Amino acid sequence: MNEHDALRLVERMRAAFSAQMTNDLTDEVLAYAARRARWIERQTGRSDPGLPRELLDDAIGDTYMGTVTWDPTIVLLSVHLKSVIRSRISTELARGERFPHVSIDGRLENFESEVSEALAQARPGAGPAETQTCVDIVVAALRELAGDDAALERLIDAYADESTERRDVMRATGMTAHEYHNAYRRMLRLVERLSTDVRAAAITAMG
Amino acid sequence: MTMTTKNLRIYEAIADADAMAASQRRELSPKQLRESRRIYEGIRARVDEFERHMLDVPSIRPSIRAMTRDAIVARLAELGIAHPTAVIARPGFQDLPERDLRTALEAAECALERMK
Repeated sequence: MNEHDALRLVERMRAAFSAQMTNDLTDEVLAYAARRARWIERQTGRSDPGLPRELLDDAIGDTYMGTVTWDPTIVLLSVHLKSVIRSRISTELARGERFPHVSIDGRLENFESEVSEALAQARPGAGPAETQTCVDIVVAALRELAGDDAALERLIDAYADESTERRDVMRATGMTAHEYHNAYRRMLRLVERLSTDVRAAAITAMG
Repeated sequence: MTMTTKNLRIYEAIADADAMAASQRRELSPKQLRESRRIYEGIRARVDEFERHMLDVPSIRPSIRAMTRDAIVARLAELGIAHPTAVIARPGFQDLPERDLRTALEAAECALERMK
């Protein structure tokens, strides 16, 4: 690609950016960022009220300046921005995994035993489950809530194997579009139930 | 792979699905709605300023500044055919950046006006 072609592409991208940048778009993407930030807050126990705005600002700035590539002929700006935010959170979440508050696989045995002791002293009857990470607790609770819903179990298993897009999940599980849609909706309802009690309990367990 | 890694993937997938649903509902507090408005207005101002800067070449007449890219390309092509010796339209000029196209059209119009 020569310089003129590259400039033309940037020009087209910026024109599409300008056309699609609406207040409804910032509402949509900020709502996404705010919800993701809330999960992070519950996971880490640390509140950062400026995080949603920071996530949105970074995604927008990086896109407009071309730091991250956006092809407006393939994907809408709102979808792209959410994807940029998802990618950043995913990176930070993976990084965070190396520094869990408590490990269930013994990598941080000393820390784990310290936390176990602290939990046992603080609350009589505290069991091993409270030494799991917030992530493990939430997922375990989700599986429990799913009960004998086979389709939902298959959906969760597909997520575990990194199939998250609808088509990938359908391919991995053999679900029809209708089955996927219904399982997805049931999963969202369970997540709503998780959000009010189990995640808070997980944070409490994390101390 | 540990169970934690698999659970991390599940956790991330459900957090994303939950956030996508909230996003579709535009689930924002009144304070966040005001913040969204401020973010939008800030971005719009910056984008508009950037675009003005890109198009604001003082020597270019307002009528050319107001033209769309396609109209500029069409006018340059038209002038190139009508006045092949006066208008130098190099091959592939259609691919020039918009700012350069406006400058080229201004130069061509000026050259023709001097000829009259």
